[in-house]
Amino acid sequence: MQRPATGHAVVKSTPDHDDTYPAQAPLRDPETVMRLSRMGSFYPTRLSFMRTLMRQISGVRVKRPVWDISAEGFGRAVYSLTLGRFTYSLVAFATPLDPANRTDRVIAEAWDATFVLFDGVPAAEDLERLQSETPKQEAGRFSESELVLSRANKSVRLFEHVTERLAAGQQPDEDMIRSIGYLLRTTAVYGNGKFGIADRLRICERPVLSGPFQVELLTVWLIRGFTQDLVEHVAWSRAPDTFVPLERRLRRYLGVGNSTGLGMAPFLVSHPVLINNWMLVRETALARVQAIESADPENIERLLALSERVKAHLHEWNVDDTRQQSRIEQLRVEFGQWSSSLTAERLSSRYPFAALLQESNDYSEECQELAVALVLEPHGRLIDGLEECMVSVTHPVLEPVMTTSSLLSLIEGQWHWALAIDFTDQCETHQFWYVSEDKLEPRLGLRHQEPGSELESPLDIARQVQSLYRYLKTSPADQSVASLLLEHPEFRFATVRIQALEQYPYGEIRDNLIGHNCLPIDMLRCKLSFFGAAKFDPRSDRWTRITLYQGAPLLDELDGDVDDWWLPTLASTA
Amino acid sequence: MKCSRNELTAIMRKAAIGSGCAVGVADEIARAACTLQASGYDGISLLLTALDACVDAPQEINRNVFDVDTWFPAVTIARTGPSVFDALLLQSQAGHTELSLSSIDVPFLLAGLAANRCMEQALKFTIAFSCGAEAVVSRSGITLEGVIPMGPCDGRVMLYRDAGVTADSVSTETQALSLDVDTTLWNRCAVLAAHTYVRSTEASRLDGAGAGLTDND
Repeated sequence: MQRPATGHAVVKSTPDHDDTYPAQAPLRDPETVMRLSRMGSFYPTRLSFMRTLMRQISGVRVKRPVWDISAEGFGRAVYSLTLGRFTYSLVAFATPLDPANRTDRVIAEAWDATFVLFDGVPAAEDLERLQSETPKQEAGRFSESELVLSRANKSVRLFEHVTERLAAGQQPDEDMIRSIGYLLRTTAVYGNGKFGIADRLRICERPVLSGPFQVELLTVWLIRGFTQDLVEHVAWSRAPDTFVPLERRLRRYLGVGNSTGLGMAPFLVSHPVLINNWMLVRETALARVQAIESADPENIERLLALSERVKAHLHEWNVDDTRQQSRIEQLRVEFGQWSSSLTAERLSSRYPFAALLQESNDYSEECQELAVALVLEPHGRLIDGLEECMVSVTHPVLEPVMTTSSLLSLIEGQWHWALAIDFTDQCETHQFWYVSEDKLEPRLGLRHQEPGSELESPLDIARQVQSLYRYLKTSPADQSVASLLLEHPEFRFATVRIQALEQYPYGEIRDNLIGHNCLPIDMLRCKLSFFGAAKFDPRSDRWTRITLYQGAPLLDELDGDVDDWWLPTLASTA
Repeated sequence: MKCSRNELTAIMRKAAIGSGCAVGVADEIARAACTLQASGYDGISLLLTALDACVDAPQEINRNVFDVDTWFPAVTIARTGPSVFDALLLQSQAGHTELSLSSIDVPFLLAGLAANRCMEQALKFTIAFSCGAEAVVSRSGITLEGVIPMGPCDGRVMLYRDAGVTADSVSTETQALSLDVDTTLWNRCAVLAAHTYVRSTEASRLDGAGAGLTDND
């Protein structure tokens, strides 16, 4: 999506909107938004992909045509649902796993459960083929009938605990449910043509699935349902006479976990148009809310209730990572202070949200971004539909006609943050991103200590732009970009990005991604927040666990309210 | 074997980088080769030939290429292939919509590169090869008259504004999605792609990904 000259996002009308654009405050500057520390403070919003998916599949029925699972919990199952004129089926395989082989890393070769999302309803021969290939994951070969490939590992403690309790006729310990939050965690969710599965082109114009990551997140939602059916099945098989089902409120609170590492980070760099669109939509939504002159009484009431839920959610969010736990503790204090001014009277004043957001700037970026997500939440009528602009079907296109002096001006105008980095300082070239020969696992290396930096992945955008800038300063002033790149094809990549930033201002992370201070976890959290993930649980500066779909409707709950599960708590899911 | 377009583009891109291509060029020639493959031509073989040719090709640069007398010498596709279309677009600003090319090492890859430009902008190309073949490339696809030209040969590329489409119109997807690929060619790409992978060490295995080796919690 291109940013129009008016600064307004282009958004299609929905039945709830008239044909005029709502009023809008100025967008936040990309210089402010596109910094790692802020991106690493993002929260899910009502525009996050899981939320939009749930709204779109409201009213859909999910069937379970195959349940061929042993008493021990091994075998296969199929879940199907129909969206428009298309039927999709999650095919799940649960297999025994030696604990010594249970790793969430890419280097894993076996998992507790593996999945594909099948385009249609699989026939018997499809199931046989998939039973052979799916458990092999990356080592298998798939066809365009498969849309998504995934796998998951158990939370061994919680799965066994829930099984034991249900078999004994008791509900599981709520503290344990609260502290872990999922029975299985996915360790990869592959889409868009990986290992022979269908390209995104196959589904990109279909109902519901046209938006970013909708097909992958549909798969994950179905996996969540499978994990809950699985634990109940094993518990029932263990003691059918004493078994009780998991209480619905606990089922609803249980999400599906996810382990995410470095593989997710380069996506933010390699898809500048898409990232621009995600950010621009989010910022446009915020600008619309900031422009509200007087708040609707219904929304005031809703915001006050949500504020209390946020406090409870923060209380439930505890992690082992000392950096993040310290941030959470600071956030609890800050949010309490900031939200103390959230009163019905205050919210009834003029431009209440702009004022409140301005006040949040006195606190940490964690608190500021939480405030952003909070004020967006009650305003569905104003901002829902913007997500249609998050799609991108294009990539940056080189403008060969541009002169090198214009290119220089672009760099000086928009890349000063890159020019300010001193790359002669080893701290600024401390890390390099690479793909290991070890099952192609994405890794981060220390440039000045480890071999392999000559094969680094091109995430050193700032350094490349600076290198081009230095060359341009010493070369003839008014040659064309076409001429420059004929002689120096090595500058083609950086040139395209420089030109693209003018058109897609939120498309570039404005930090040094190879510097000592770069924390990949910030990139992971940014992307995952757009998915709708919460309760980030960093395991290191480059690896995190999250919970997806916590509080979301269950497989048989799409007839009810599918939209009230932002930052859920155990109490809010009751 | 069957593979997806995204998968094929990704491995050819890595193969190009592993062969020494600049990243920005690798992006474009991998997409071009995939477009040809999806259009029923042997794009993978053409790409591999281009990568082989690039290794030995001299770095001959004619700084006068952008003069009005449009002559683009010794096209090494894996190095200067995308620049052919840059040059043509630049020249078209001055009303010159034709570019002569000499000694194109893998001529038909130009049709793939042209096809990708058509998807980005409202353009249409005709590429006449000295062997007598002629390719017409638009958003509707690639039409070849004559046999697939083998290099090196000379050629002329002519650019037209495609009045039938606008730059932001939805592309017409006439190409196959799931592609038939010769396993031997795939494996050759994989070997070249492996040149981009870093050797694993015990230290990188332990620390490089930021997570432990077991997750039994």
